Amino acid sequence: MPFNCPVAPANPDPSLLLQTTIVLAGTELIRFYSKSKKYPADSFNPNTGKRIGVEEDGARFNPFPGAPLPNVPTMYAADSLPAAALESVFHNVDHFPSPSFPKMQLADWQYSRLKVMRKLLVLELTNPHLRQLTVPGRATSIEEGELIHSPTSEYPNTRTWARFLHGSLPTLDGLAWRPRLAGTGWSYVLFGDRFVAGDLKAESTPTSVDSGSGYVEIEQIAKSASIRIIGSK
Amino acid sequence: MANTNVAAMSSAMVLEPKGVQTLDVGSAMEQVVAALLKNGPGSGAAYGVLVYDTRDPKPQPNMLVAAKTFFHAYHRAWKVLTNIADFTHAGSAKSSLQTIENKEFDHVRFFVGLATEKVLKDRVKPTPGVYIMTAHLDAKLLKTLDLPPLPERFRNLPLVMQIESEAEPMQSSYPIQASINEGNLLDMELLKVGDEVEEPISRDTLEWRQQFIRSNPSWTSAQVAAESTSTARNRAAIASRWLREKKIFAIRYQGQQCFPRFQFQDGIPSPVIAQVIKIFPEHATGWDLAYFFATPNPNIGGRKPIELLKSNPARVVSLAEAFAHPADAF
Repeated sequence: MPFNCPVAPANPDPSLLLQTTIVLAGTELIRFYSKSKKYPADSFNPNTGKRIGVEEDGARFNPFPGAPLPNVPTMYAADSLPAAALESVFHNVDHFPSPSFPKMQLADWQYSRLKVMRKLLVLELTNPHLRQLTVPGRATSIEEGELIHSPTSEYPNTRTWARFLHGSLPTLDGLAWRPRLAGTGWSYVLFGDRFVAGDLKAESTPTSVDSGSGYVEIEQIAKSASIRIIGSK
Repeated sequence: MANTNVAAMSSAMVLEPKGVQTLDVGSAMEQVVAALLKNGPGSGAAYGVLVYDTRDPKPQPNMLVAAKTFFHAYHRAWKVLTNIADFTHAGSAKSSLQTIENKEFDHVRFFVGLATEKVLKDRVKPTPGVYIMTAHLDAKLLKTLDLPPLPERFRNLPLVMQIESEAEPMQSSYPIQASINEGNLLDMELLKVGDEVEEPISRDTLEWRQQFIRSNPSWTSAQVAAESTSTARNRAAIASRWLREKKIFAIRYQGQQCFPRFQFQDGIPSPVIAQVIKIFPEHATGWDLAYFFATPNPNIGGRKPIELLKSNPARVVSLAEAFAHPADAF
């Protein structure tokens, strides 16, 4: 039985008190992002024109509206290559035996290494840290499974939680969670309006993953998660 | 082995676990015959024999070039083998030699079973091409080489596959020394040749395609023309015209061009197909489009985009955008 994700409270709660976690300055992150959009590794995705209510218009926790821009710019990253790949390239892969993945899509991705240049404040989306978060109309707190292990059809609802947490905690830099398909490592979504230039620094030139060593790495990660890569030619 | 046809062939190459060696055609053919010889001393370990025509340039004993020719030949024979529906071989190894051939087999022939030397010399004639002794290709080796395993009913049989060079152009004289000196030239050469034929595909890809073909009926170009309600003058060429105009897409399966039927409505292409093709990047293939349309899509609760072709084509376009540009959200 897949998890469903309930809708978050409609309005931010300035009195919300949650245990947050610090990501230390100097931490290295890996970011998968678009090769065709051609924006730099350390700049945020503006999410222009994306709709919060349409599943395929984004991913888990993104997009969501936030003044002054129509959508809050975001960036997904993780503390290891597998965690980063599983929560980006493979984020849509279903929890079936031997799921398939089209090789064609790899051409749209690249990854870069980033260094965090100041400490970041994030909320870990694990049950201990979610216990203080109530769900409208029910007694129990929101749970990790509902936010992280819910299927793609629940993406619009997960975005309401990103909007609620971003609005309620003005100093929060992003959200952190255990990758859905991996179980180890940390994945992050960072809120672009909380960053200034220089907070993140690109450490490497981008690596393509549709050929060469990048493909070998991706293929290995796919194998470790029992994902079958289906060829194009 | 004395053979009257030998004069037509310049020489042959034998592929063995230790490498390749150039032999005269007669000696090389003995390796082929040994694999099927009744009461013989048992065959050697040769994987295959490459027989060259006099028109071919004199072959250099190069392991990589020979292996490449061998791999292509194996794929060609394997495709034919998987399509032989009604084969039975009574008593496996003990029954006598059968030759399986057919015009549609595209110059591929199979020798199954054992026979005496006389019979074999009479029936297994050396013609330019590749002979593959399948008994020496165990499952583990095939897997390592990324070659598909033989269909179950052809395993554990004395079997030689003959792929004539009409079906498999022989690669005989690569400027191998020069290529190595020039860095990656060899790789580029191999890739260029690979574009001419269907590329070898992984087992996962093959299984996925077999499943697709089973679940999604396709038309040949003749069937597209026959079903077409178009009043165009040259109706016979309608499929290739629609393909050229990017109104439909085609997939290649077992050497055949096919057009998945879900693209058509009342004999003409659904307009949404052209919209989706336009969204996909230039490098996308027909199989990529087939994958998109016919795979359960998590954005619509695991339904397939083909289920929405009539009821919600706008959503299909939106799903195609996300599929073709998956990194846009990141």
